[in-house]
Amino acid sequence: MTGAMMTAMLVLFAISVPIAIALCLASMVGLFGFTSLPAIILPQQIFIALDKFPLAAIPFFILAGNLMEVGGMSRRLVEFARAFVGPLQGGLAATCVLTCMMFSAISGSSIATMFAVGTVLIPAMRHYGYPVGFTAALMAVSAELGVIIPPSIPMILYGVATQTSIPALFLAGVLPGLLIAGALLVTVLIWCRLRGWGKRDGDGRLDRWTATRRAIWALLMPVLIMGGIYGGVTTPTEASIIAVAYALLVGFVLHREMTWAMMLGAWRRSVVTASVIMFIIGSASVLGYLLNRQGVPDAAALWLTSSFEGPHALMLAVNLMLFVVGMFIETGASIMVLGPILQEAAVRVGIDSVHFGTVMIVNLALGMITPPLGVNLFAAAQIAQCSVTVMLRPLLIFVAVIVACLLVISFVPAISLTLPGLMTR
Amino acid sequence: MSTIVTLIRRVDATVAMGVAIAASLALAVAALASFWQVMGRFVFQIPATWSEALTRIALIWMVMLGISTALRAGAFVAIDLLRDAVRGRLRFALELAITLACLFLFATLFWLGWEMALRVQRQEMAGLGISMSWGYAAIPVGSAFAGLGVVAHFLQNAKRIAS
Repeated sequence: MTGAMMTAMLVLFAISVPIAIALCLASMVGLFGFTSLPAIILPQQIFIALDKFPLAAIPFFILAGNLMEVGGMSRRLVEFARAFVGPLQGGLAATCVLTCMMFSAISGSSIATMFAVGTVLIPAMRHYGYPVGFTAALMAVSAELGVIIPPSIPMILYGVATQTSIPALFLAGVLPGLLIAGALLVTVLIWCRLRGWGKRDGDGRLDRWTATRRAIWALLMPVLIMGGIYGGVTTPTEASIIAVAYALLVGFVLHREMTWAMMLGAWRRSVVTASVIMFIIGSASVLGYLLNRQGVPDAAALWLTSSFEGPHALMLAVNLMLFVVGMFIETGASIMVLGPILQEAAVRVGIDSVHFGTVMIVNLALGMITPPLGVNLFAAAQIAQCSVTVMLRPLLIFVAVIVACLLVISFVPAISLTLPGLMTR
Repeated sequence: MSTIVTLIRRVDATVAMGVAIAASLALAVAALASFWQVMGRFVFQIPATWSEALTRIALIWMVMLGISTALRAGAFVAIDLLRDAVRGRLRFALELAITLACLFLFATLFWLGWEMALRVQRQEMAGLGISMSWGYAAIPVGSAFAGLGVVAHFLQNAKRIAS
């Protein structure tokens, strides 16, 4: 049955059926063709999967991110970062990395980060003479930070799918996010120096004090969200709805930039994004339910732990596999289907579930910038109005940098586990 | 054929607008209910019993209704290698196959979801005191609109491929 479901899934993927729909159809093959379970299990499992309060954080964080974008936060964060790193050669490229890092701390998805920062910075970088391929590739790569630095929608998914603490996962993403941001910063600064790009990036920037004053409401946002969660005051879901309320307050009252039309546009875009992610959760959970009944997670864990001796070999094997999976399959679906299976194996060889989740998310975030299915690449190409092909060369170097970071994060658990460790004490 | 196509398109445009508004309203209901929950817990110190249940139900409605809007916007990602590689008739056949696969899924979900909604009629939703059917009904209703969205999206595409 598992074989039939997998075959059906791969065939449907190959003929370009949307991933969420292919998952559901593959489950139907298993459910109707190979079990005597009542057919009604299908809608029932979808309903049960979605009927969870912690999942409410997903649409609310998406909504908060979109509202912050139209409320003028992203532009202010760009100006803030530029006031500090603008004078360096390659200052705008550095601004791109830094702004993505800051926006990631208020947004839970990389695509939201991409649109919020990219629509401001891609035209600016083009104006200052950066090549289009480099600009778009850098933007696509930096936006990955959106899912690594908390809040993060994939982390919520992993937490729900594997019963791992979401606040602990959020905290675990902070240092890996800073590591990747740091590595990208160093890379672009050296790159710009070698190529002679970005010598006048500091022209027309705001002074630091003005830039900070203007960005203050945006800068306070992560403090509010994370402070609430780690102060033990709010749950992630409560923090997400507070983020929505705060974004509306800033957009309408403090920045006075949001109009009703802008709000409704952001609202509608959020509905679309959230529906897609949550429908994937529903379809993937039917598949997960059937695989579970077949004892697949257990069998897979047994096979993995016996084939790969010890945590290091397993970690390497899983990373390789996820890298390939990430090239073809959307992040949410990978986490919902593979998360519980791989986590089971990882925990058995003594890898911490929080550390494993962090590795899995950093790896799958890489999948957003690797073709053929790299959602960030498509978004960057759309904003920069270029083809994905021109991004490929610069992308190779960026992917190499992230892979290096991924290996460090995989084999040095302390990077992920130090901060969550402080929380439990 | 063409009159049917025009008719489907016209009905679809109106329905699409209505469904998109309904999905947005569902998100608004969920947001307000959760906000009330937060206020209840932190400001008034009286935790509400109904707000969490209402948030969950409203979000299920948002997801199921949002699918049709997402389908029209082409927001469901697929591995497009094959689709980009083929042209002409083959492309048309592929689009048709994808559309039929989607339609088959939503027809099944409509039918089974309906049966499920009827079956849970007597069960009560904890915290809200209404029948579980109100929650489960989101699946058949959303699937029906999603099916319409699939057809509309195909017709738009078919026109583009033909030209």
